[in-house]
Amino acid sequence: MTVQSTSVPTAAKSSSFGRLDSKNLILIPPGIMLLVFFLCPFLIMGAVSFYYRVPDGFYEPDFVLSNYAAFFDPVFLTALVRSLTLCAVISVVCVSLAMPFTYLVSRMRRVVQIPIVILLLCILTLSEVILGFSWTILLSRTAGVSNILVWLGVLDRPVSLYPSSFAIMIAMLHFCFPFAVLTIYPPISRFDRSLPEAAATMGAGPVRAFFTVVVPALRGTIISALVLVFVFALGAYLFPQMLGRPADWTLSVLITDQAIYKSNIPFAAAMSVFLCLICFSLILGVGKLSKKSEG
Amino acid sequence: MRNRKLGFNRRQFLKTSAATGVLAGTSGLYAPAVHAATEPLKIGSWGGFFEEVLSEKLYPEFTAATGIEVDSIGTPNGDAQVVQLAQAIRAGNIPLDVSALIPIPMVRATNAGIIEELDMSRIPNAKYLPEVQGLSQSTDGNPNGVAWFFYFNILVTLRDDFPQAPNSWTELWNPSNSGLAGVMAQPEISNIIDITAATYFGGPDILKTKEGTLEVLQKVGELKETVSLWYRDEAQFQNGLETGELPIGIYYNDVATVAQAEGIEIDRVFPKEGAVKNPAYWGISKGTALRDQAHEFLNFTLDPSVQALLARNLGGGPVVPRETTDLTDEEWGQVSTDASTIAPAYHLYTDWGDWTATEFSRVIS
Repeated sequence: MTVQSTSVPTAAKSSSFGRLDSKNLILIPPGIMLLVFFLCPFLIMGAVSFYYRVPDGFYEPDFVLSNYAAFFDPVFLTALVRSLTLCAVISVVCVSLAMPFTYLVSRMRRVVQIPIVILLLCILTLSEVILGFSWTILLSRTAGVSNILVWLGVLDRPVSLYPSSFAIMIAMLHFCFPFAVLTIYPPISRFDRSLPEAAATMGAGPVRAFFTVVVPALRGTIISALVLVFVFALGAYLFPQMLGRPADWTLSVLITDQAIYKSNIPFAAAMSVFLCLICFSLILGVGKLSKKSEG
Repeated sequence: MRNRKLGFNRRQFLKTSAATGVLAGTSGLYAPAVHAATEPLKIGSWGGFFEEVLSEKLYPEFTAATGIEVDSIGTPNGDAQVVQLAQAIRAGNIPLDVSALIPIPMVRATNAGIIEELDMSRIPNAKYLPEVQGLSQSTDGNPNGVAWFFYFNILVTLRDDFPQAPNSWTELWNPSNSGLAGVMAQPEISNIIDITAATYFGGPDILKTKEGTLEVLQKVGELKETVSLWYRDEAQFQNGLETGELPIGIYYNDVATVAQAEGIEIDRVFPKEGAVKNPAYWGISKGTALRDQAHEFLNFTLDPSVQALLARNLGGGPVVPRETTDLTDEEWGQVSTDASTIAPAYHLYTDWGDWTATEFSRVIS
């Protein structure tokens, strides 16, 4: 309300578009950015997905459905199911860890909070490649953590912990965790402390207060963090490729293979469109669901 | 074992050859058939090591011998290279007169109609080329590319883990190597299907039909047990070799030679079933104004003395018979082999490319 009352009426009058006041004007640059860098490439990708793939060659403008038909091969459908499952598990685990972590951090003194946030931001400066290579060393037979377990007497001889879905999971959690925390952090730090305090006065312990008061009150935040991590993980293709066996490769890896190594751009585009549509419908579904539960 | 006394690496090759003036001698023997044009000949080769070595070592020799100036241009490798070239040529530009192309991009470029057929009478040195894999053919069956070096996919093993180097590709399937091997992720790059056919099915005949190929692919699928890393980047496998994590795998002979020279204790094995031999071709762009000069360049690179120069500097296998060059036994052993080799069944990766890719994914996942 206060924002609206500060807008200057003369500016709106001088504009030929009645509603184009200074507040809306600021939306033009990001709007153009979205149009040029998101919508246009997406539309081009959509168009290419219907192009004809010339065997042995490249592609020609056309309207064929064969690229979509090729997707219904068990190889690719399995990869799709695997990708969705992996990302769902990662987003649930990641947010389940990030939620109590952020809650506890937000209750700490500022001197402690700041270094923790800086540490999380530091993880973000590392690229997927560096994190991937680091994990290959940490999980390796020759130099990895299993050597410590041998030293402690837990294992007889060092073993390689990758390639495996466990390795992909660990690396992806490492990569996604800061995003989850940074999404949850602002609402949780603004969260009204009197609510858990009220719960405490009524006899709830800190754990019970967290689950019965804090979590339900921050439902919207949790859902947006889940969606964010899910979508983010869906795009990762280096971790599955570096730390997984072919049976762990996600659809993103197969899309990359088709686009870069087989120059089958129409098929890669068709798979990407499919993945995007599934992504959109999931987000829409989750959005609807959260609105319903709020209402 | 035979490589323990490796004399020098690529960088030292460059130094020694420059110091002794070996290279300077080559141009004196060569008699050019074409005179220089006003414009330089634009030659494209894969950016990085290749382009650097060629522009430092090969092109100055060519210019000295023929007077034809060269403009060296770095290109991507693989499909991106062909896409760029095809788009430019269709738009009426000819960004390159001559391009270095490996077999599958060469087929794509041929099918895209951007490669000129060759006038073999202008490439007399082509007489040295082997019958198999020496020439690339246009859709009409006429020659449109000459091989200028061969590269080999070989077996490499770490000496610590394999004190006695194996001599067969079967070692990749050996259950005792479970989880220890590294193989390229793309079948057209590793040529694992060709290797399997040669090792377990008596040669490439079985790959003539899709049924036969599926049978071979079943055997390829057994590698799931031993292959831990299906790599897309050489650095991934080299890292595995260096840390000892992946003591066995398929690697390029020339890259393995450099790895040895850098001190990684590996054996380069040309297995008894044959190492995989792939040619690198020169192709001339359709519509080039410098057709004569381009032919002259192709002929020059097939001169035995130039072939020796390329072997010493690039680590590629010569396309001319060993006795025509002055390479020593040790030098020859580093870049090539006298044993029989495996010639890939390229139709798997071109005509049947999409089918092969999907079926390969099916068996390894």
